[in-house]
Amino acid sequence: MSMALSSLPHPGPRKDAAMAARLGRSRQRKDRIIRTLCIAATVVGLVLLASILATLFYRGFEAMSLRVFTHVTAPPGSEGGLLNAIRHAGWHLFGRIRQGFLAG
Amino acid sequence: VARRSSSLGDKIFALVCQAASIFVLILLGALIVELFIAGLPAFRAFGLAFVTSTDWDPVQELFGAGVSIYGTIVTAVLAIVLAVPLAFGVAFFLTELAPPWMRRPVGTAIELLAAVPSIIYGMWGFFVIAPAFAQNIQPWIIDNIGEWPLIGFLFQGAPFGTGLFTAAFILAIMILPFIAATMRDVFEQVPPVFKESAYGLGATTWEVMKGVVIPYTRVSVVGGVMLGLGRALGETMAVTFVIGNANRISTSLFGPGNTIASLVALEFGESEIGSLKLASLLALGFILFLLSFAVLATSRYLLRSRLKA
Repeated sequence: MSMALSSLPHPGPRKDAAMAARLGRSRQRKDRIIRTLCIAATVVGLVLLASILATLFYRGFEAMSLRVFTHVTAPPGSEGGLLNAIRHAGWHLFGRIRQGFLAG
Repeated sequence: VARRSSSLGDKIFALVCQAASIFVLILLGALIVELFIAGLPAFRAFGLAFVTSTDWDPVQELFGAGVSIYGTIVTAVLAIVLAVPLAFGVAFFLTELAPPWMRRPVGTAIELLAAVPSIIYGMWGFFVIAPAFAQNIQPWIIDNIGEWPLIGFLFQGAPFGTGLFTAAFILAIMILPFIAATMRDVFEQVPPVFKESAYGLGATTWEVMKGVVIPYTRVSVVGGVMLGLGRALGETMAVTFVIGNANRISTSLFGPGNTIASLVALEFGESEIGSLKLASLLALGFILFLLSFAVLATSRYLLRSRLKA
């Protein structure tokens, strides 16, 4: 079957093997470059996320202590905590969840 | 008897649901009308020129929306320009290139970017991105691309670190997960037989993407991009941190500026009730509402087939 097909005259212009190989190489190269760029894009996205989290943890832990959870915010210059903000965030979250249940 | 009472329950429930959805619509309409009425004094005082005027002089009571509309559109469009190639790369990676075990964790990590509160983007931009831009990236761009003909003027000036470009960069990261997730979801909906036929003809992965997947999903991809644009237009806190807050249009993208949202956030607290300034800020809000409403409505329209499915 394959012999019969290959013995038929090739339709259209003759296939230039060297040209076909060049074309194939350039298509493969383009594919590889774009794939690499896509992987790079994903890595960039992950690095940005990691940078945000690292900044938060690194800078946040420096200021983290029990006082943050047990004291309300004091005037600038004196030692205070964030109890008021944390408590309100908690109530806010609770309210949002309840709202979400009611609406959805 | 039991049947009748249950059908009565159905009717009541349907009515309640109907009322709830109509109430949301009325609320939306009321918001627009209220913003317009509150901003009316500004439109009366300055006419249509309010939209184009670049004045913002609280002392002489001269207000115009030109600077902040310019800033809003430039940062949002620049954010799209930065985010779309990145989002496309992520979506391409997640649907075609990544090994199956990697898809979920990486996809979730990218989506986590959407869960970061905007105030944290603002702080991160201010403490990490702005110094990095000021010390390394902007000087290099100013020295190199700033010398180019035609587009060079966009990249000149002093490397402040903050400014329109930094704001657009932060916005790009914020909208990246939305665009990437939309693209990934629509890419996954391409029937495998289409892609397999192209692979069978000897196409490379990129050729399948370009020749089969993108043409099949083009409208939805544009819809996803519009979704990102709508988010970028209204973003307030992160932008306010890094945009530089200057009420003038600078030709350079590195110059400071303002967006509608950041200007309102900054000046709302110091405007008196009944003053022309408050009216101008509310008029700005009205313009922003129209802008993002138009963009999001377009996005919904383009994504309608996907959302129905």
